[in-house]
Amino acid sequence: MADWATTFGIWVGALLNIFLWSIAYRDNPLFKFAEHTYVGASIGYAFAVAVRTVKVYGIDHITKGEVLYVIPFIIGLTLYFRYHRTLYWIYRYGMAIIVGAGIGAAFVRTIETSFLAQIRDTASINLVQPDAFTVLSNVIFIAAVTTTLYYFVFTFPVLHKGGGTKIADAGRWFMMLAFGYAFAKTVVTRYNLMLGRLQFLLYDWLHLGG
Amino acid sequence: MAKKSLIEWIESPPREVLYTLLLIILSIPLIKPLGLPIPVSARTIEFHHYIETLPDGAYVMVSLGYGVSSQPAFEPFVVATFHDLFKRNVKVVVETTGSDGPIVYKSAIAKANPDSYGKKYGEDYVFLGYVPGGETAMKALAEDIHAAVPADYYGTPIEQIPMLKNIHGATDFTLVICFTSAGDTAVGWIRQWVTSYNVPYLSCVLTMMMPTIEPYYPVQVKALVGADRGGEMEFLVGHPGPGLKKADSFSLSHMVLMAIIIVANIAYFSLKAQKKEV
Amino acid sequence: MSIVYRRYLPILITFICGIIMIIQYFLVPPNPTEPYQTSLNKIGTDLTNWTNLIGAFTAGFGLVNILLLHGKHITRRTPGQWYFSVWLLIMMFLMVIIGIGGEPAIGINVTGFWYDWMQVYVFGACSGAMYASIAFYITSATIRSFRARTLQATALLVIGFLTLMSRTPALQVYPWIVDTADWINSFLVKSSFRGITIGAALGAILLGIRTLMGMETGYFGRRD
Repeated sequence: MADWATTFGIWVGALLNIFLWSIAYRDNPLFKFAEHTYVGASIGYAFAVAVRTVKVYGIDHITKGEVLYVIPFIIGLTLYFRYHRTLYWIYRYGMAIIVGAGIGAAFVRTIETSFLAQIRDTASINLVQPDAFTVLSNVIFIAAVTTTLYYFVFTFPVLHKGGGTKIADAGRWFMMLAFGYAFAKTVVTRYNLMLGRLQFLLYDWLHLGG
Repeated sequence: MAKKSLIEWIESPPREVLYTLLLIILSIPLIKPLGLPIPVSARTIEFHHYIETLPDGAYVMVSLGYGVSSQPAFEPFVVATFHDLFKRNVKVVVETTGSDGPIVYKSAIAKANPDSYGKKYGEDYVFLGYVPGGETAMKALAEDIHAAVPADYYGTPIEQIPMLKNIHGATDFTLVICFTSAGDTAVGWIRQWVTSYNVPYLSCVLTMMMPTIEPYYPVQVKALVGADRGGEMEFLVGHPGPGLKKADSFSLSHMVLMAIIIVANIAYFSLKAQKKEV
Repeated sequence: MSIVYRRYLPILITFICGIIMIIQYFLVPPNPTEPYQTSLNKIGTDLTNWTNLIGAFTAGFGLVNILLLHGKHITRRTPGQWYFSVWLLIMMFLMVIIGIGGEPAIGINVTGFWYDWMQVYVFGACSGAMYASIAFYITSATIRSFRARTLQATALLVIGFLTLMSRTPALQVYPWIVDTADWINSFLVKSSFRGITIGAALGAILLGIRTLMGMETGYFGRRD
């Protein structure tokens, strides 16, 4: 069974792939068919995984004797009250736990990870270097960090008036150069993804190369 | 609509022509390799170095934080990393933070073939499956794996898995490797495992995401590499595969794209000059 | 009274959950030894695990939303759409049934082969193709945006061009290309994104504090 199923699967995958890529030329019923196939399959898959997750992370705990897990189990079920016309507010309790715990876990570490550590690393740059090019590079680094931060300070409008606009402009220039770099990287990423699919189409489906 | 002149056509080529050209340019080297050079970057060597220097018996947490949509980009690098890890006497704990992670795991592990290295599931490597919660899942794994994950992907209770018997949490791990297409996931591991427990962290992300993670390198992220370097990793571990085969296509497509950009700019300035004369 | 259990109690719960996590971070070391540290750690760990379980239920929202949306298309016989909606729902339920019968940990293990098949050849193929199709659009966007119209656009063009060159394996044999791109990455890109990271972190911290204090209630959903 496996052989014919694999061959059939390769054909299904290849045709769905081509139907989806046809949108690049123009909208057509084949694309819509493939798009709806994809959405249906992905939602169905996500639900199957959700059933598995609830079973492993909820029911198995309860059957092992950890009866307190009944509480988050019931709270999780109450999340579906969001679809009720009048009792929708019940779902806020589950969301409150998710949001509160999530924010507490993340933002307090953000202070160290994305704020203090970054400032520490920037402040520790040694401007005393043996060659002038490294010194200049480090100066550019610090200037870029400072002007980029300055650009985003909107609390005090006076900072964006008069001479302050020059600093904000410098920040904007540095960011633009960085985004140009990031844009080129996006091209590389998308080509990498497309190459992966082309390898499936050429090697597995059409048996060309490989 | 007035017919476009040749210069206008070159300056703004029709999308049907562009897309067809793109498909042809990307496909030709895949069918017939051109033999163009493929150097290995310093970042990939650094990534490989951290795995090479793992001590015997070390525990490594591998997080597959990408889904099937990014599988074509990540798989060569992930498979090469699995080869690298299975060559050594280390214990590998794999988990996913995305619900379609199990799909990419099954595909990657089949290609890496741990059996060929004499590795046994449950003793040398284990797959915990999708751990729900995103960053709170990372936190839960760091604090107490046994409380966070009741069973592995296949339903085996965690206490019955030999390699996890004496493992508690992040403090027992020597290295975390995360493959992810989501910036939040990459930074989440820094927040939960690096900031709190100082576990060395290697990150492989989609190339376009590298600038957002760059500020954390090299202090918090010991090695940061883009997924397009999969071919280089395959070369370093001695298992050439689809990643290396992509290299010629990268070269040809980028060079053609750059040529089109140059020609389009020349056409743009010619048109501008023509309009000025008129 | 109703505003108490509709708004104030959820806000209080958000605050308490957040405070437990914050206290755990500041008072519990990686290897707790004192009894109070162990107790605080247990409370924090249990809350984390409870949160993960509650969060797992949110995956069903997609199914309910799709049912509501496409159910409407089918009942109203939306021209040009309703038969696609029928197909979508068929695919969805087929995947649910095959998935529940195939997921190893659920224990039924009847449709494992077809579950893997659907994952690879339907879900995987479509997902990869959708994400890869952006390569078409990025190509035309690149050609149109890398145009030396102004000084800023020229700077964007030069940097982007150098970056493309540095990611072309055949051109990486020229050290000056790689070194220039490395310099751009280490000194221009890293610095700018560091500034953005710090700014975003400040925003995230403030948003976190505001949410815990009940000033941001976007997660409540519809207004009362």
